This record gives sequence, structure tokens and C-alpha cells, in this order.
Amino acid sequence: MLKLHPEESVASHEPEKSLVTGSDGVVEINGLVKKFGRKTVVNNLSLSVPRGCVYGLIGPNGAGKSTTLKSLMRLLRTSGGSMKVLGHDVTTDFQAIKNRVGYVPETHQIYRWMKINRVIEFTRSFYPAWNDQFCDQMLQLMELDPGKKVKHLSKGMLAKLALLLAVCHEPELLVLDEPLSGLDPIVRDEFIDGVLKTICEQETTVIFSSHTIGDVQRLADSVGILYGGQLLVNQSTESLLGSARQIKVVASDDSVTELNSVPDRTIHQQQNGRQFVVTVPTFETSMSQAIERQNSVESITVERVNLEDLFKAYIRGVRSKNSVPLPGRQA
Amino acid sequence: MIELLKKDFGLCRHVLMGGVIALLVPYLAVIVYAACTSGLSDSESIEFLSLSLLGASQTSVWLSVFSIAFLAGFVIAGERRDRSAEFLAFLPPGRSAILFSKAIVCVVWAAVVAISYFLVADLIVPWISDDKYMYESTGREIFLACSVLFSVFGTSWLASTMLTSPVLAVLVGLVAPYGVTMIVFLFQLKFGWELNGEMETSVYAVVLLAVGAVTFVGGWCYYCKRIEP
Repeated sequence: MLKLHPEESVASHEPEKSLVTGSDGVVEINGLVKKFGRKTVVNNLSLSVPRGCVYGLIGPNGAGKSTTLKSLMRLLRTSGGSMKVLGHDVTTDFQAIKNRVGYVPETHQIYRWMKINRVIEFTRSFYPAWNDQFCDQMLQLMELDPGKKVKHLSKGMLAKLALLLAVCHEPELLVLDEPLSGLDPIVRDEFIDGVLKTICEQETTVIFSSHTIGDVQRLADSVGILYGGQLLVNQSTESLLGSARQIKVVASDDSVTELNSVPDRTIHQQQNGRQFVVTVPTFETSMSQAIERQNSVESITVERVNLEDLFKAYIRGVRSKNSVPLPGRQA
Repeated sequence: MIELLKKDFGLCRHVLMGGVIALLVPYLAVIVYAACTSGLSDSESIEFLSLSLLGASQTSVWLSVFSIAFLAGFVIAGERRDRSAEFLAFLPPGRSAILFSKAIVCVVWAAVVAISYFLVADLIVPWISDDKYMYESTGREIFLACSVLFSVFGTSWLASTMLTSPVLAVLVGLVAPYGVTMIVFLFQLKFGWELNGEMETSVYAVVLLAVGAVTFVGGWCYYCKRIEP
């Protein structure tokens, strides 16, 4: 018995060119390598993010997300490769673009002894394009008390302040490193719906990292999956989720230990008793037909996959050295 | 630049307050001691007060070695320790502007120390004393004091640009004059240099001044070249 959802056959397609080889990207990383001693944390990473794109970088702990973003923000010395931000070489000319970029680090290291209004005044003095009206709006939206000292702020409030300081000069590029880590679900939702969505709807190009996949799915136009310092996936969220499918196969008897005719491009195959879950980057009806022909099958269902499950499949696939095709993978 | 200066003065406010206390304590001690002392004639009192104030001014200068070391040690490494340096690193001011502001804070403090010394030793003491010239500081003494202070400042500054621990940077600065003096002394022994008292003081002062200058410039160059905040 074969059950297919309405969008049962999804044509295979190439990832967007702009994400892979674009020469007009706000951010262009080519062959980035970062080593800490003998350990390679980022390994030959290449990435291009076009203007106006909200790009989510996801990966497990230690995948190299923060290192990549810190390197991009010239806070770390790189071991190889080149990076351009807004057309300027990061290594030689980063000072020229500081005014046009906003950055929120993973841990917010704002002067703890200053009051919020003093921090704002301090930061504001360096940006000719600082938007006071927007700043006031953000203060109200974020419910920040300007008279409060930074050291008395909760983690959530500190994250909001860091974001406020990063956006009020209306940067062309906003880089957010785990902006939501450590926030409770309510503050998190407020933060995403009230603040981040407002920013993402503007023309600002946003790159943010997270290991909370749901947040990335809610916000990102494009997504990169990073693992072991390498970019496994670099594709628009819509096309990634639009084409990937999970083929759920229930075998007729317990004796089946392995599926025959698994598609070549399988990301990951998982077995749980009689049920096999095969995650594929693109689906064609012939795939499930082949599985049905070659195996003793009770039922086959093809389902859409959310970003979290797809992310897990990619990571598990790589870990088990079972993955083959990586859509949008960098050369 | 004004905002950077305000920030750096705020950052170093505890060190500066400690420095002010260290600067004033010898004078307060003299005042308290003078108030408690009785039975001296007017001329003896004036003589005693003059000498005491002179001693206090010299003591406060030598105590300022610590405040200078703390200031230079904390002004850069302190930001690195609490990681606010990362926040600052991403703001538009370049490394030179950041350092210039920090150097100004140190220079202002050195000026306060120097002014307080000259005010007391070269103006107040001669003014209240009968012998106007008896207590004038000699140029060599001042030069030596400045050299020690500058070498402490320079080495603390250099260590501060490299280290994450401000305490370690302070210690490096405080140990530096002893280390330099020891090295010069060993050279004297090895090569059999015989210097008279005045010449010896001058040589030590010049070497300490050179160490201060080299470490200060070295720290500046290193900080401007390093990528990590």
C-alpha cells in the first residue's frame, strides 16, 4: 500500500546560484579555514549571502558557527581563505565597513557598570547614521528601562539591549551569533515576534546562528547546515523543505533488517523495529515504487519534513558516513 | 574620542580613586601628626612642617608607582578580562583611537602626580620655609623618579596589551624596575664598569627611561596588530 501526499513527486533542482557562487553577495566567504592549534574548527568553508537575505546558520555544538561569525567580524585571526563583507576584504579593510555592520555576539559583553542610557549614548557617538527615533521605539518595544544598570539586567534583557545597540545605526548587514541562547520560551517568542521579525522584514541582510532549529525555520530565507567546520547544506529554506521528504516504510515482517533499493541520494536511513525512515533531499515517485518492488512492504508513506528532522538526518547521516548527496554543498 | 575618554575614566575609576587616596595619605598623615604635636617653637614647627611635607610629597610620588602600574595594567587587560573588549572591538573606533584614549587617561594621572609633587616640594615647602632653596628637588632625583615611573608604566602597558589578567600585568610592571636594575648591575660587574654615585644614578635613570619608552611603543604596536580584542 502506497500513500503519497499531494505533493508526491518533487522535481530535483539545483540550489540557487546566488547562494553558492554569487559574486554580488553582501557576505562572501571563500575557503575559510580556522585552526586552534592542531584542531581544525572551520575547514574550507565557502558561502555567499545575497543582499536582503536572512540567512540561518545551524549546526550542533562545536560545528564552527561562532568561529565562522567571529572570523567574519574580524574578531579572530583566520588560518586561511578570504572573506568579503559589503565588497571589502575583511582581513585588510574591515575598519571601513564597521559603520555598516551590526554584530551581536553569543555572550553579551556590554560594560556592566554603565547604565542603559549611558551605553546607548556611548555607542551612538560612533555612528553618524544612528536613528534616535528607531532607538526610542526599540526601547519601548523591548521594555528596557534606560536608567537601569547593565549589570542588573536579566539575560533576556541583555540580549535585547545588545540587539538594540546593533540595529539602531541601521546596518546593511546584521550578524547575530546565537541571539536567543539561554532565553526562556516566552521571552524567546517575544524576541522573535516583536524584534527579530521587525528587523528581518527590513532590507537588512541578516546572518544568524542557532542550534534551535525552529527559530531558524521561522525566520530564515536561507539556511546553512554546518558540521565539523564544513557546510553540508547551503540552500533556501523554501526549496530545501519543499524538496526534501521522509519515506516511511513499514516492513511486512520483523526479519527485514535492511531495505533494498534505497535511493542513491539518501541523506539518512533510520530503523525502528519494522519501520524504516528514509530521508531524501528530493523525491520522485519512482523511489518509493522501487522500494515497494524490492522489499516486503506493508505500507509506504511519504511525508514532508521539517527543518529540525532534516537537520538531524543530515548530521546523523554524516556521522554514520552514510550520506551521499548534499544539495548546495560547496566544492 | 570624548566618549572613549569618558568610558576609560569610568573603567579606571576604582584605580584612580585608589591612586588619589595613596597620593593624599602621606599629606594627611603629616597634617594629623602636626596637629597632635605640641611643644615646638614657631621656627621648629615651620622647620618640622617643611621637612614633613617634603617627605610626604616624595612618599606620595613613590606610592604612585603602584597607582601607575595598576592604571596601565587595568586599562587594557581589564577590558579583556571582563570581555567588554569584544564589545569595544566591534565598534567603529580603530585600535589607535582606543589606545590613544587609554594613554591619555594614564598621562592625565601622571600629570596629577607630578603637579601635586611640584606644588608641594617646589612651591609650598619653599614658601613656608625660611630657607627658600634648601628643599628644592635636584634634577637628578626628579629624573630618576620619572624614569622609574615611566618604566613601570611602559612594562605594565606592554603586559596589559598581551595578557588577559590585569593583576599579572601590574605585577610585571612593578617587578620591571628591579629586573632592569639587576641587569644593569650585572653588566657593571661583568664588564667592570665603575661609576660614581651621580653617574650611576643617571645611567640607571636613562636605562629605565629607555625600557619604559620601548615597552610603551612595543605595546602600542602589538595591540594595533593583534586581531583578537
